[in-house]
Amino acid sequence: MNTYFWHLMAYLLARYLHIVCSTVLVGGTLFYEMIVPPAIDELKQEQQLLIFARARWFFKWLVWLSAVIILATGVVSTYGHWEDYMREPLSAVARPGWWWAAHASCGALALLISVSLTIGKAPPNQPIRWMRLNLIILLLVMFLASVTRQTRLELPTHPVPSYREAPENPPR
Amino acid sequence: MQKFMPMRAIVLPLPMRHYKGFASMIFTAILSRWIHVISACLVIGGVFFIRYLVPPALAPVDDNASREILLSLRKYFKRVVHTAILLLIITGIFNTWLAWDKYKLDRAVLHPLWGTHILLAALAFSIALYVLAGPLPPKSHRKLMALNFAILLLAVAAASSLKWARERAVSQNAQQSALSSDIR
Repeated sequence: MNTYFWHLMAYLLARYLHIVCSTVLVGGTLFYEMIVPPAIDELKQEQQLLIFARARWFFKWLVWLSAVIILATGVVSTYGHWEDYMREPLSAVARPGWWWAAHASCGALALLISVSLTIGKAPPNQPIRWMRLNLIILLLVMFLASVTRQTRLELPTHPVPSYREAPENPPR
Repeated sequence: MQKFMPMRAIVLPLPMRHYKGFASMIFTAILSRWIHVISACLVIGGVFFIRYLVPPALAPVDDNASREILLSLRKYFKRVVHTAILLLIITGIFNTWLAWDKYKLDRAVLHPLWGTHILLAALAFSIALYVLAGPLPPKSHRKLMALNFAILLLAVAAASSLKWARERAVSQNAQQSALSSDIR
């Protein structure tokens, strides 16, 4: 097993975990915010609060674990694509580095909101509004990830070693 | 002679590489991919939430009320899943159509990965539709949901590997083209 193989495995695993944690976080947030409230609407308010509190407690661990994994795997993926992000195509809009910066900063903001909503014994004021805002930011983050990928793929290919660049007087 | 632009091949199939609405096509590709990912998030996150987070959250509620809540959650979740499956199929077909030329670059690797992704997705959809069909869930709904979650994770792994293999095939193809033009 050579180094290339392990680098490749690390990259693929990081990418996979990044996607899985994102799907669980976004899908869980949407479920918690849009499906649970109407489903328990007919219960008494005390029971509703009890269910929300317990779901929040379980969801907390999911959010924290996902946040840590997303950050770590995001660093690995960024390291893998850093050269592409630093390249400057003709148009500034087509520069993947800008889109990556937008993706990373919005993603960090979304993770910060997610974690802050689950810190402490009681949720903050107006938790549903915060979750809705966070859901919108998460969707934006995913859009930015999609654009980052597309602009990265649109870059001209890496320079290929050319026969013309061979030394004129090769050593005998 | 038109200049070879290998990176255009990443987005568009052969007949469309010199299409005037190239920018709008790129936007459509991004939009399609975004909708595909969001729909996958809804299904995977929803399955995880309803299978692993809801049951312990409903533990303090009595059995009858718990069952009512689960049925109510299932009703809302069914709408989300049906919509998500429809979007996944539409955007999946579109994404495949866009990338089909690239799948021909390394058939030995790309076709099995693509086929695995499609088969796993079809299996997951079938299980989801079966579990959510009718007013009451089947007896084995917990096991089926857990199985479905595992299948969905495998489908994501196949998609992730497929994307990497596709990018590698396009890059290798571009390098070979540049190399052969240099030799000439």
